[in-house]
Amino acid sequence: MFRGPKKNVTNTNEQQNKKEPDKVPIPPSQTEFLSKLKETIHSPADLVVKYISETVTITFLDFLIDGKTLNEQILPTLEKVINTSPKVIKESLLIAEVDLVAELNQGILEMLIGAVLIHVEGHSELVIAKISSYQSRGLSAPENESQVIGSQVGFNENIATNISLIRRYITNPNLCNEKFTVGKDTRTSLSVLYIDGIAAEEHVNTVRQRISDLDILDLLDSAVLSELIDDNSISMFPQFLLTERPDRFCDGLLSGKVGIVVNGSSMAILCPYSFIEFFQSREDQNLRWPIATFIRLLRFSAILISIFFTPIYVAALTFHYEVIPQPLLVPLSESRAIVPFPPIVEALVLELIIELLREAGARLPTKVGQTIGIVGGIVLGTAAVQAGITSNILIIIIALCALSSFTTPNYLMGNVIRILRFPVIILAGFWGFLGIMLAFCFIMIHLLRQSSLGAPYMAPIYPPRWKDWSDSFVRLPLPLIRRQSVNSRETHTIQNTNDSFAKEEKVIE
Amino acid sequence: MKKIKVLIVLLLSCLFIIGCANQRILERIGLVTLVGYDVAEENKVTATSVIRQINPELQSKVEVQSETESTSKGTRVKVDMKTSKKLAAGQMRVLLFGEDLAKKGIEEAIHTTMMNNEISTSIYLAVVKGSSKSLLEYPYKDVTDVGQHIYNLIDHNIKQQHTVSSTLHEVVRDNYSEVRNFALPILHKKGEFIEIDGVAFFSHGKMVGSLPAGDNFYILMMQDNFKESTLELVLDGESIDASKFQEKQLQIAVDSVKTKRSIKVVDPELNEFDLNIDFKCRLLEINSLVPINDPKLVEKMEKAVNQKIENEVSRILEYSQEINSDIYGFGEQYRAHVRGGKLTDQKWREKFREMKVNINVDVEIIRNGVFE
Repeated sequence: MFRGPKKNVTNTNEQQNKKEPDKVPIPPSQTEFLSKLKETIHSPADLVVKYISETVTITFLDFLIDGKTLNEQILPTLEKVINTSPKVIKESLLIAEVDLVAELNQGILEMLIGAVLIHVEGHSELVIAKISSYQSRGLSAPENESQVIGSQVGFNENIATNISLIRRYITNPNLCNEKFTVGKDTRTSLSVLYIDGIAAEEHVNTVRQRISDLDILDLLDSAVLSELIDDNSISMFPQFLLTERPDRFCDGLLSGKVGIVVNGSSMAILCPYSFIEFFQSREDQNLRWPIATFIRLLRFSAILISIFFTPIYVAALTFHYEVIPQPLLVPLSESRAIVPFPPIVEALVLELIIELLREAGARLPTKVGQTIGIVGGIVLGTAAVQAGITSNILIIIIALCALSSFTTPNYLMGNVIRILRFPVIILAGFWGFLGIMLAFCFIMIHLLRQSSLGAPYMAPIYPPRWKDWSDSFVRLPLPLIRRQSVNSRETHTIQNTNDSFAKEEKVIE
Repeated sequence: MKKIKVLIVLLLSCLFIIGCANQRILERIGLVTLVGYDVAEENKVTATSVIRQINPELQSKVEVQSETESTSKGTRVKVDMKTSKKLAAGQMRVLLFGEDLAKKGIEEAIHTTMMNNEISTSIYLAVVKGSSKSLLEYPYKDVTDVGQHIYNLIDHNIKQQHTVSSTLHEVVRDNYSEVRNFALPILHKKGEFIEIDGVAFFSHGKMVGSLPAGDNFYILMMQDNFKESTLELVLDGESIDASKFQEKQLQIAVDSVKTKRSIKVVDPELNEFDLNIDFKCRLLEINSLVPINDPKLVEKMEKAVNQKIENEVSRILEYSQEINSDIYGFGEQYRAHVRGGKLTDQKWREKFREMKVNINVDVEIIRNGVFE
C-alpha cells in the first residue's frame, strides 16, 4: 500500500542490496570491453561506438551528450594523441569535467547521465568526459501560483537550472547544497538546500536522515517525495509546501526552512511548514501592509466560509429552524418548498456537481475548460433551480463556498479545504449543529496533533508564539516583522529593528 | 490494530445514532409565529395560533387557528388536527394574553413557555384589551401576516423606548424575583389598526391595573435610563412669564432626551427612598413668540419642566403603590443595600405600599434646537 521503507527486510534482500554495487574491473582488451559493456546495458539502439584509432575507442549514448563539444573538442584531441595512456588523454582534453575510472559499472552510470567513455587498448582505466546536454523546457511563468506583482519566473524540470535560479536569488557562501540519489530503478538525483546559520541544524539532520532512509524503487515527482518523507503520510493535510516559484522558495530558505529540489520535477519542497503559512502568498510581501493584511484576513475567513457555510445551511434547515432570522424565513422556505429532497441530499448533489465541473475543467485543455465552466455554471445552475431540484439560495451558498475555496494560494491545501467540506456536510445533515461542532473539534484536534519535521503544525497559534504573529494572520509593516520564525535557529542578529522605520535624511553637500 | 477496531466500533455506533436525531425540515413544518391565550369557560384556555404555511403552488399564506382545551399542549394537539403540517413553535415571536386571562393570572402560562426549550427567551409578551382571538382573527385590510405585524409593532416600539420592554426573559426574571413585579404593553384593536394602548401592571402574575399610553415615558424613566427619546410637554403659560407670550398653555417638545435614574435607600427604618432622575434634553419645538435666546427664560423653563415631570412621576408612583405593583425595582434596591433585611414577598408588599419616596428631577436643556 505504501511505498515507504519496508520494516522487515529479509536476509536475502540485504544480500542482494550488497551485491548490487558489484565491482567489475575494466577489461584491457578492446573487444572484451565492448562485449562486456553491451552485455551490461543490453546493447541499446542509441549506443554509439566509434573507433578513433586501432587502440582508442569511444562510446556514448546518443542524444544524451552535447554533439558540438564532442566534435569540436574531444574528437580533434583524440586524433592528435594516438597510442597514449588514459592519463595523457585526460590531461590533454580541454573539458571541465574529465575523470579516470577503474570500474566498469561506475563508468556505465556516468554514461547513462551523459558522459563519453574513452577506452584505450591495454589499459584498465577509462577516461570519462562529462559533456551531458539536457533537453529542458525554457523558463516560463509559474502557472499555478501566478502573481500580479513579483517575479514572473517559475522552476522547470531541470535540477541544474533550478539550482542556478536559486543561486541567482541568494548570493551567499552559506547556501549549502547536498546531493542525494533516490530510487533503485530511476536513480533520481535531488538536492537538499539550506542556508547554514539560518536553518535549524535538527531540521537539516531530519531531512537528511529521512531521505537517506528511503528505500524505494522509483521517484518521479517531488510531490511523491514530500508525501514519503513528511511526518504523517496518512493525514489529508500537506505538511510540506510544494512551490514552483523560485522567489517563494528562496523566501523560505531565508526564513530558516530546508528546501528540496528534485530532478525532473518543477515543484520544489519547503519544510517545515505550518498550517497558517499555507495561506500566505509571496505577493503579500509585495503589497502595502494594510492591503496585504486585509487580503490575508479575507483568505482566512474564506476557509471558514468554505468549510462551514453549506453545513450551517443544512443544519439550520434540517434541525434548527429556530435560528433562522425572521426576514429570511419566508424567502428560504419558499425557495425550498418545491424541492423534493431533504437539505443534505440537495447540498451534496450540488457540491458534487461543482466538484465534477472543477475536475472536468482541470482535465480538459484550457480553451475547452472555460466553456465547461460556463455551461456548468449557467445551464446546470439555472436548470436545476427551475426543475425544482435545488433551491436558489443554496446555489448562492454553494457558489460562495466554491469561490472561497479557490482563494487558498496553495493548490494542495485548496484541495483539502474543498474536500473537507463533504464530511462536515454529512455530519451536519445527521446531527445538525452538534455534528458541525463534532467535525470542528475533530479537525482542530487533528491539526493540533500534526507536526512538520517535528515542528508544531499550528505554530504561531498553538503553541502560542506571539512574536510570529506579526507575519501570520496579519502582515505588519516590514520593519516590525521578525524575519526568522521561532522554529528556526537564530544566529543572525535581526537587523530590521524599529529604527529602520525612520529613514534618515542624508544631506549631500 | 486494536485501536482501529475500537475506532470502527465507535464509527458504527455513531452510524446507528443517526436515526435518533429528530428532523424538522423547515418547509415541512407549520411555523407558529404568534399565540394568543384567552379564558374560556370551565377553567379552559382558548389558544389562537398564527401559523405561517409554506405552499409550493400558491403564495405562502397565514392561517389563524383557534382551539379550546385545558392545557396549552392540548390545544396544540387539537390545532395539529386541523393543519396539513406538523406545528413547531420555535419561530414564535409574540405571546398575547386576553385581558380576562391576565386578570386571572398568567404565571402558569409564562412558566410553561419558559420550560419549552424550543421557544426563545427573547419573545415579547403583551396583553390584549378584549380577547386576543378577536384581535387575531379580524381580517385586516393592509396586514398580510398579523403575526409579523404585531411582532414588528412591539419590537420597534420597545427598541425606541416607547413602551415597557417585555421580553420573556425580563418578565420571568421579574416574576421569579420575590420583590419585583412586571409590566406588559397593552394592545388594542382600533378599527383597522392595532395600537399599543397603555401599560398593564402586574402583581404576582395577575394584572392589577393599567395606565394609558401617554404615561409610558414616565414609567420607563422610572424603570430605566433613556438613551434617546422624545417628549412632548404642556407647561403652564404663566410659569414662563414671557412678555410677548400671553397664552395660558405652552406646548413644547424636547428630543435627544437622556436620563439617568438612580434609586437610593435613604433610611431603611423609616422606609424612605430617593429617586433621582437626571434629565438632559434638547429643545425642539416651542412657540415662536417665546424668546429662547434669553438664558433666564431657559432657566425658568427648566424649572417648569422639572415641576411637570415631578408631578407626573409622583402621580404614577402613587398609583402603583395603590395597586401594589413594584415594577421599578425599589424592592431589589432595598434588598441589595439593607443588610439582614430578610425581605420576603409579604413583607415587601406592605413596605412598598407605605414607602416614602423623595423625587428629585434635575432637568437641563443643553441646546435649544438647531437653527440655520
